[in-house]
Amino acid sequence: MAKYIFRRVLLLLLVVLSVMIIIFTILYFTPGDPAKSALGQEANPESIAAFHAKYGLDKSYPEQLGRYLYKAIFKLDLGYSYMMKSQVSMELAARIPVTMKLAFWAVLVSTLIGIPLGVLCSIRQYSFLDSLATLITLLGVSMPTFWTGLLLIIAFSVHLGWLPSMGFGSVSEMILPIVTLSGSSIAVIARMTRSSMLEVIRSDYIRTARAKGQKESIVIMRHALPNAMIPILTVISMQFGTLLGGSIVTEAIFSISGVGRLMLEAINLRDYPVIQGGVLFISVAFCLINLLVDILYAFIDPRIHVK
Amino acid sequence: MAKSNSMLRYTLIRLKRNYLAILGFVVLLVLISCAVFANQLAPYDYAEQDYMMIRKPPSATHLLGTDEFGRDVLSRLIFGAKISLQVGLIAVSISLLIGGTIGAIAGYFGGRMDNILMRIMDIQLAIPTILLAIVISSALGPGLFNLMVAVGITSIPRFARLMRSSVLSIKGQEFIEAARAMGASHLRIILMYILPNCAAPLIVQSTLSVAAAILYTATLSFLGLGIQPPFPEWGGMLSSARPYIRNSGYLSIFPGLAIMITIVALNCIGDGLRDALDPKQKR
Repeated sequence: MAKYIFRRVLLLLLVVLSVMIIIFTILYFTPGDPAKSALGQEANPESIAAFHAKYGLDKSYPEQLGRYLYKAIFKLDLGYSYMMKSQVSMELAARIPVTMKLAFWAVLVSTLIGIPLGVLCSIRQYSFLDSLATLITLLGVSMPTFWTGLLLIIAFSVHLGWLPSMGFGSVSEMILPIVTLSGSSIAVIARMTRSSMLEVIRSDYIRTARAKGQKESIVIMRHALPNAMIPILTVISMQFGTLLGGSIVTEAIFSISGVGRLMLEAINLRDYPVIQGGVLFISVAFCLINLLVDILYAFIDPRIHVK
Repeated sequence: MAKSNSMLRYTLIRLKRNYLAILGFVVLLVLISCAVFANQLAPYDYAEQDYMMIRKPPSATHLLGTDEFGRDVLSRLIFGAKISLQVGLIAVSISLLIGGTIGAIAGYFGGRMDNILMRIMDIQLAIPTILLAIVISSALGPGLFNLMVAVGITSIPRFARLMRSSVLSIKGQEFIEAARAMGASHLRIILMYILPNCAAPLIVQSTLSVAAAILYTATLSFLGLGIQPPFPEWGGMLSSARPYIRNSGYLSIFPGLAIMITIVALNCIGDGLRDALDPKQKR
């Protein structure tokens, strides 16, 4: 097990390193000069040259890349934001808790609603409830996140006036963003739970459990659900990535100052170090969750022998 | 030849039983007609401004109302169908072509080539799709074609993985060996013998990917990174409707409805095709 985890961590580091190189490269070859965005289009050549020299933008591509990687890996220094005149790592540190809180609640809510909904549909296959839930989940996966958010704002902020349409501090401010973000994930998780449960319910050991007179609720909860969990967990961990990405949209709609909004602002202002830092954070978080889930498999299903 | 005919027939028979898929096809047909005949169907031009009719709610002259420049929302939605379908099709073609080639090479040749190519795909998968689309499209700059490329690149790994696993399951079979024994080249084996046999999952994935591509396009435009005004992209329309959410809520409803109906239709078709093409469910 320890060997497996060690190998996976090593692989993760490799993936993260590659992500850093790829994002740096994409942004390096992006047309447009950050100096002009920072100093204005009419800035004189001297101040632009000074700007380039200050941030090392006058160096060659390998030199800049090497410097970026060296500082990021050995000094945990993600560079200096052109716009905010501060360390990228400081800016990220201020925003990460907000985004994590949003993603965490969204994962929690979508899991707590999605799994029971899927289980319910699977034990009442082809019932009215099942058809209704199938229809709702179909709509759920097809609704753009930003539209869900806009509709919720129209309904609950504009017309009913129950919930605020901005911010992410108090409980009432948190409801709409979390519902917006978890909407499609609920649908995806419920769908996967349903199909995974349906497969398990047909197996012999479920029939055995029923045959020996086990209570139906225990058959479902103790025999079927744990065995159906692996694909569900995979989907949840994949959803975490979708949610982190989706938080960019959600943060934009509800004016939440998290990593996503920081990145959007940075993209508009060509503030490359901030974009690099944001992508890095989201990818690392995503990879870590996937790693944790992979390790969790082994605990949930002892049959999985770690190679 | 006879075999492919019967396969197609069986697929069609099974598809006909799936009402959701039929509904999806009907909706798609309507959308395609909108896209093709936009000039004839739309009551107004998408850029035609009428300053006497600014943000008027739905009425007899403007069935879905007018936007902040007095432009007819219905006409913009009809022209928007053209953009969305275009982006969806071309983006998926890009990912199908590149991803399919990568997957075919990785699966067919195996070994180190497989390892390197699939690790590259894994790295790309470590960046959430929408995030990668945002970064690429901001690097390429705004514009329809750049948007297609950005969205297309993001689903390359999915096609590569799918193609690879299909190729792996087929390349060990006897008819491939027979083709090789007859002296067929690698390219010929891949194109003539392997590709037709993994068409089914590719078709399903392509349909679902068109839906995803349209969704990503709308998201990017909503964030201001996609198609620029005055082009009537559905996501962009929602984005410009946002400031008027308090007084003209209908502006935020119809473009979203258009997106959702399109995605639902494509998802229904994709699910229907998957069920119909799945040989395990034959009879």
